[in-house]
Amino acid sequence: MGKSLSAGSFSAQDKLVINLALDFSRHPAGRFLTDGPFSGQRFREEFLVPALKKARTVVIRLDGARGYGSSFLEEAFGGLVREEQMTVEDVLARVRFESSDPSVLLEITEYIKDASPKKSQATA
Amino acid sequence: MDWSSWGQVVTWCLVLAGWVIVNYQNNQRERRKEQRASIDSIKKQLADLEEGAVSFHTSKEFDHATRRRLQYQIHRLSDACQRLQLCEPQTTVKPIAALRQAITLNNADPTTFVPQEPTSPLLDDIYAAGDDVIDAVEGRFIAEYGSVGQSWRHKLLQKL
Repeated sequence: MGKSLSAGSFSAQDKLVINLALDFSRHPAGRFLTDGPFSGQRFREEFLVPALKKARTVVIRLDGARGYGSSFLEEAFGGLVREEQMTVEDVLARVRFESSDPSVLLEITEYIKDASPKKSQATA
Repeated sequence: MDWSSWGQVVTWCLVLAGWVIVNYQNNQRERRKEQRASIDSIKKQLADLEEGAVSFHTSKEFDHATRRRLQYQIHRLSDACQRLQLCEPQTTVKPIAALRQAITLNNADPTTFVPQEPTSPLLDDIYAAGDDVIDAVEGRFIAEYGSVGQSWRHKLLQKL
Protein backbone atom coordinates (compact mmCIF):
# COMPACT_ATOMS: atom_id res chain seq x y z
CA MET A 1 0.00 0.00 0.00
CA GLY A 2 1.09 3.60 -0.49
CA LYS A 3 2.78 5.48 2.31
CA SER A 4 1.09 8.32 4.17
CA LEU A 5 2.37 11.83 3.69
CA SER A 6 5.02 12.52 6.25
CA ALA A 7 5.92 15.84 7.81
CA GLY A 8 9.13 15.63 5.82
CA SER A 9 7.12 16.13 2.67
CA PHE A 10 6.67 19.80 3.55
CA SER A 11 9.21 21.94 1.77
CA ALA A 12 7.65 25.21 2.94
CA GLN A 13 4.83 26.27 5.23
CA ASP A 14 2.47 27.14 2.41
CA LYS A 15 3.62 24.49 -0.04
CA LEU A 16 3.29 20.74 0.09
CA VAL A 17 5.07 18.43 -2.29
CA ILE A 18 3.63 15.04 -3.18
CA ASN A 19 5.93 12.71 -5.03
CA LEU A 20 3.33 10.42 -6.51
CA ALA A 21 5.67 7.52 -7.20
CA LEU A 22 7.23 7.59 -3.71
CA ASP A 23 4.28 8.68 -1.56
CA PHE A 24 1.53 6.78 -3.37
CA SER A 25 2.58 4.16 -5.91
CA ARG A 26 4.82 3.60 -8.91
CA HIS A 27 1.90 1.75 -10.49
CA PRO A 28 -1.12 4.05 -10.22
CA ALA A 29 -4.09 2.59 -12.07
CA GLY A 30 -7.85 2.60 -12.06
CA ARG A 31 -10.53 5.19 -11.56
CA PHE A 32 -12.56 4.13 -8.52
CA LEU A 33 -11.62 2.51 -5.20
CA THR A 34 -13.14 -0.70 -6.52
CA ASP A 35 -10.70 -0.68 -9.45
CA GLY A 36 -7.66 -1.37 -7.30
CA PRO A 37 -5.52 -0.18 -4.40
CA PHE A 38 -3.89 2.70 -6.26
CA SER A 39 -6.86 4.31 -7.96
CA GLY A 40 -7.38 7.95 -8.87
CA GLN A 41 -10.21 8.25 -6.37
CA ARG A 42 -8.00 7.01 -3.53
CA PHE A 43 -5.18 9.35 -4.49
CA ARG A 44 -7.57 12.30 -4.58
CA GLU A 45 -9.38 11.49 -1.35
CA GLU A 46 -6.46 10.33 0.78
CA PHE A 47 -3.57 12.41 -0.53
CA LEU A 48 -4.64 15.35 -2.66
CA VAL A 49 -7.61 16.71 -0.73
CA PRO A 50 -5.90 16.46 2.70
CA ALA A 51 -2.84 18.16 1.21
CA LEU A 52 -4.99 20.98 -0.16
CA LYS A 53 -6.52 21.44 3.29
CA LYS A 54 -3.07 21.73 4.84
CA ALA A 55 -1.25 23.88 2.30
CA ARG A 56 -1.98 26.77 0.01
CA THR A 57 -0.13 25.20 -2.89
CA VAL A 58 0.36 21.53 -3.64
CA VAL A 59 3.06 20.39 -6.03
CA ILE A 60 2.55 16.97 -7.60
CA ARG A 61 5.69 15.32 -8.91
CA LEU A 62 4.63 12.81 -11.50
CA ASP A 63 7.97 11.39 -12.63
CA GLY A 64 8.95 7.97 -11.41
CA ALA A 65 5.66 6.17 -11.95
CA ARG A 66 5.54 3.50 -14.63
CA GLY A 67 3.03 5.41 -16.70
CA TYR A 68 -0.45 6.71 -16.03
CA GLY A 69 -3.85 5.61 -17.17
CA SER A 70 -6.14 8.39 -18.38
CA SER A 71 -8.95 7.20 -16.09
CA PHE A 72 -6.63 7.60 -13.09
CA LEU A 73 -5.62 11.11 -14.17
CA GLU A 74 -9.20 12.17 -14.87
CA GLU A 75 -10.55 10.89 -11.57
CA ALA A 76 -7.67 12.20 -9.47
CA PHE A 77 -7.45 15.71 -10.92
CA GLY A 78 -10.66 16.31 -12.86
CA GLY A 79 -12.37 14.92 -9.76
CA LEU A 80 -11.23 17.94 -7.76
CA VAL A 81 -13.69 20.05 -9.79
CA ARG A 82 -16.38 17.40 -10.24
CA GLU A 83 -16.41 15.76 -6.80
CA GLU A 84 -14.72 18.21 -4.46
CA GLN A 85 -16.49 21.31 -5.79
CA MET A 86 -13.31 23.28 -6.39
CA THR A 87 -13.36 25.79 -9.23
CA VAL A 88 -11.17 25.24 -12.28
CA GLU A 89 -9.32 28.46 -11.51
CA ASP A 90 -8.71 27.41 -7.92
CA VAL A 91 -7.35 24.01 -8.92
CA LEU A 92 -5.08 25.46 -11.59
CA ALA A 93 -3.82 28.11 -9.16
CA ARG A 94 -3.24 25.83 -6.19
CA VAL A 95 -2.11 22.56 -7.73
CA ARG A 96 1.11 22.52 -9.71
CA PHE A 97 2.29 19.58 -11.72
CA GLU A 98 5.85 18.59 -12.51
CA SER A 99 6.57 15.97 -15.14
CA SER A 100 9.14 15.32 -17.83
CA ASP A 101 6.30 13.99 -20.00
CA PRO A 102 4.42 16.95 -21.49
CA SER A 103 1.61 14.71 -22.77
CA VAL A 104 0.65 13.87 -19.17
CA LEU A 105 0.64 17.56 -18.21
CA LEU A 106 -1.51 18.38 -21.24
CA GLU A 107 -3.99 15.65 -20.38
CA ILE A 108 -4.30 16.68 -16.73
CA THR A 109 -4.92 20.32 -17.68
CA GLU A 110 -7.61 19.22 -20.13
CA TYR A 111 -9.36 17.10 -17.51
CA ILE A 112 -9.38 19.93 -14.99
CA LYS A 113 -10.69 22.45 -17.53
CA ASP A 114 -13.31 20.06 -18.93
CA ALA A 115 -14.63 18.90 -15.57
CA SER A 116 -17.84 20.36 -14.25
CA PRO A 117 -19.28 20.01 -10.73
CA LYS A 118 -21.89 17.30 -10.16
CA LYS A 119 -25.32 18.94 -10.46
CA SER A 120 -26.88 17.26 -7.43
CA GLN A 121 -24.09 18.47 -5.17
CA ALA A 122 -23.69 21.84 -6.86
CA THR A 123 -27.34 22.73 -6.34
CA ALA A 124 -27.49 21.32 -2.82
CA MET B 1 53.06 37.93 -50.09
CA ASP B 2 53.48 36.95 -53.76
CA TRP B 3 50.87 35.38 -55.99
CA SER B 4 52.25 31.88 -55.41
CA SER B 5 51.85 32.19 -51.63
CA TRP B 6 48.30 33.50 -52.04
CA GLY B 7 47.57 30.52 -54.25
CA GLN B 8 48.72 28.15 -51.53
CA VAL B 9 46.57 29.90 -48.94
CA VAL B 10 43.52 29.69 -51.21
CA THR B 11 44.22 26.01 -51.93
CA TRP B 12 44.42 25.16 -48.22
CA CYS B 13 41.28 27.15 -47.53
CA LEU B 14 39.44 25.20 -50.23
CA VAL B 15 40.73 21.90 -48.82
CA LEU B 16 39.58 22.87 -45.33
CA ALA B 17 36.19 24.08 -46.57
CA GLY B 18 35.76 20.84 -48.54
CA TRP B 19 36.58 18.76 -45.47
CA VAL B 20 34.11 20.74 -43.35
CA ILE B 21 31.32 20.28 -45.90
CA VAL B 22 31.97 16.54 -46.39
CA ASN B 23 32.19 15.98 -42.64
CA TYR B 24 28.95 17.91 -42.09
CA GLN B 25 27.18 15.90 -44.77
CA ASN B 26 28.43 12.60 -43.33
CA ASN B 27 27.26 13.56 -39.86
CA GLN B 28 23.89 14.61 -41.19
CA ARG B 29 23.51 11.36 -43.11
CA GLU B 30 24.39 9.26 -40.05
CA ARG B 31 22.08 11.27 -37.82
CA ARG B 32 19.29 10.92 -40.36
CA LYS B 33 19.79 7.14 -40.43
CA GLU B 34 19.68 6.97 -36.63
CA GLN B 35 16.48 9.00 -36.47
CA ARG B 36 14.92 6.88 -39.21
CA ALA B 37 15.75 3.75 -37.21
CA SER B 38 14.24 5.33 -34.08
CA ILE B 39 11.05 6.17 -35.96
CA ASP B 40 10.83 2.63 -37.32
CA SER B 41 11.20 1.35 -33.76
CA ILE B 42 8.43 3.70 -32.60
CA LYS B 43 6.17 2.41 -35.37
CA LYS B 44 6.80 -1.16 -34.24
CA GLN B 45 6.10 -0.26 -30.61
CA LEU B 46 2.92 1.46 -31.73
CA ALA B 47 1.78 -1.56 -33.76
CA ASP B 48 2.34 -3.82 -30.72
CA LEU B 49 0.50 -1.34 -28.51
CA GLU B 50 -2.49 -1.16 -30.87
CA GLU B 51 -2.66 -4.93 -31.15
CA GLY B 52 -2.51 -5.32 -27.36
CA ALA B 53 -5.09 -2.58 -26.80
CA VAL B 54 -7.57 -4.10 -29.27
CA SER B 55 -7.05 -7.54 -27.76
CA PHE B 56 -7.59 -6.09 -24.26
CA HIS B 57 -10.78 -4.23 -25.13
CA THR B 58 -12.30 -7.15 -27.07
CA SER B 59 -11.42 -9.86 -24.56
CA LYS B 60 -14.26 -11.49 -22.64
CA GLU B 61 -12.87 -10.65 -19.20
CA PHE B 62 -10.90 -7.79 -17.75
CA ASP B 63 -7.19 -8.62 -17.76
CA HIS B 64 -5.19 -6.71 -15.11
CA ALA B 65 -1.82 -7.80 -16.48
CA THR B 66 -2.60 -6.60 -20.00
CA ARG B 67 -4.00 -3.35 -18.65
CA ARG B 68 -0.77 -2.71 -16.77
CA ARG B 69 1.38 -3.68 -19.77
CA LEU B 70 -0.51 -1.24 -22.00
CA GLN B 71 0.14 1.55 -19.50
CA TYR B 72 3.88 0.80 -19.53
CA GLN B 73 3.95 0.60 -23.31
CA ILE B 74 2.33 4.02 -23.65
CA HIS B 75 4.84 5.40 -21.15
CA ARG B 76 7.76 3.99 -23.16
CA LEU B 77 6.31 5.20 -26.44
CA SER B 78 5.95 8.70 -25.07
CA ASP B 79 9.57 8.62 -23.87
CA ALA B 80 10.75 7.38 -27.26
CA CYS B 81 8.93 10.22 -29.06
CA GLN B 82 10.50 12.75 -26.71
CA ARG B 83 13.99 11.35 -27.24
CA LEU B 84 13.84 11.88 -31.00
CA GLN B 85 16.46 14.43 -32.00
CA LEU B 86 14.09 16.17 -34.38
CA CYS B 87 12.64 19.66 -34.50
CA GLU B 88 9.10 20.56 -33.43
CA PRO B 89 8.94 18.15 -30.43
CA GLN B 90 5.66 19.69 -29.29
CA THR B 91 3.82 18.28 -32.31
CA THR B 92 3.87 14.73 -30.87
CA VAL B 93 2.60 15.74 -27.42
CA LYS B 94 -1.10 16.00 -28.25
CA PRO B 95 -1.26 12.80 -30.35
CA ILE B 96 0.42 10.82 -27.55
CA ALA B 97 -2.08 12.23 -25.03
CA ALA B 98 -4.93 11.34 -27.40
CA LEU B 99 -3.58 7.81 -27.80
CA ARG B 100 -3.40 7.34 -24.03
CA GLN B 101 -6.96 8.60 -23.76
CA ALA B 102 -8.20 6.32 -26.53
CA ILE B 103 -6.75 3.26 -24.80
CA THR B 104 -7.07 3.98 -21.07
CA LEU B 105 -9.79 6.57 -20.47
CA ASN B 106 -12.89 4.48 -21.14
CA ASN B 107 -13.52 0.77 -20.65
CA ALA B 108 -10.09 0.33 -19.09
CA ASP B 109 -11.05 -0.33 -15.47
CA PRO B 110 -12.53 -3.48 -13.89
CA THR B 111 -15.75 -1.79 -12.72
CA THR B 112 -16.65 -0.34 -16.11
CA PHE B 113 -15.18 -2.94 -18.46
CA VAL B 114 -17.45 -4.29 -21.18
CA PRO B 115 -16.08 -6.56 -23.96
CA GLN B 116 -16.09 -4.54 -27.17
CA GLU B 117 -17.36 -5.72 -30.53
CA PRO B 118 -14.84 -5.62 -33.41
CA THR B 119 -16.90 -2.76 -34.87
CA SER B 120 -16.73 -0.69 -31.68
CA PRO B 121 -16.01 3.04 -32.13
CA LEU B 122 -13.54 2.69 -29.26
CA LEU B 123 -11.33 0.51 -31.45
CA ASP B 124 -11.65 3.00 -34.32
CA ASP B 125 -10.46 5.72 -31.96
CA ILE B 126 -7.42 3.65 -30.98
CA TYR B 127 -6.41 3.09 -34.60
CA ALA B 128 -7.04 6.73 -35.49
CA ALA B 129 -4.99 7.95 -32.53
CA GLY B 130 -2.17 5.58 -33.51
CA ASP B 131 -2.21 6.95 -37.07
CA ASP B 132 -2.05 10.48 -35.69
CA VAL B 133 1.07 9.60 -33.70
CA ILE B 134 2.74 8.19 -36.84
CA ASP B 135 1.74 11.28 -38.84
CA ALA B 136 3.17 13.56 -36.16
CA VAL B 137 6.46 11.66 -35.94
CA GLU B 138 6.87 11.50 -39.71
CA GLY B 139 5.99 15.19 -39.87
CA ARG B 140 8.83 15.96 -37.48
CA PHE B 141 11.21 13.92 -39.62
CA ILE B 142 10.18 15.77 -42.77
CA ALA B 143 10.42 19.12 -40.98
CA GLU B 144 13.96 18.25 -39.90
CA TYR B 145 15.31 16.66 -43.06
CA GLY B 146 12.85 17.51 -45.80
CA SER B 147 10.87 15.01 -47.82
CA VAL B 148 12.43 12.36 -50.05
CA GLY B 149 14.33 13.98 -52.90
CA GLN B 150 14.66 17.28 -51.12
CA SER B 151 18.39 17.78 -50.74
CA TRP B 152 20.21 19.75 -48.07
CA ARG B 153 20.82 22.44 -50.67
CA HIS B 154 17.07 23.00 -51.05
CA LYS B 155 16.71 23.13 -47.29
CA LEU B 156 19.56 25.61 -47.00
CA LEU B 157 18.01 27.78 -49.72
CA GLN B 158 14.67 27.68 -47.89
CA LYS B 159 16.34 28.82 -44.67
CA LEU B 160 18.09 31.65 -46.51
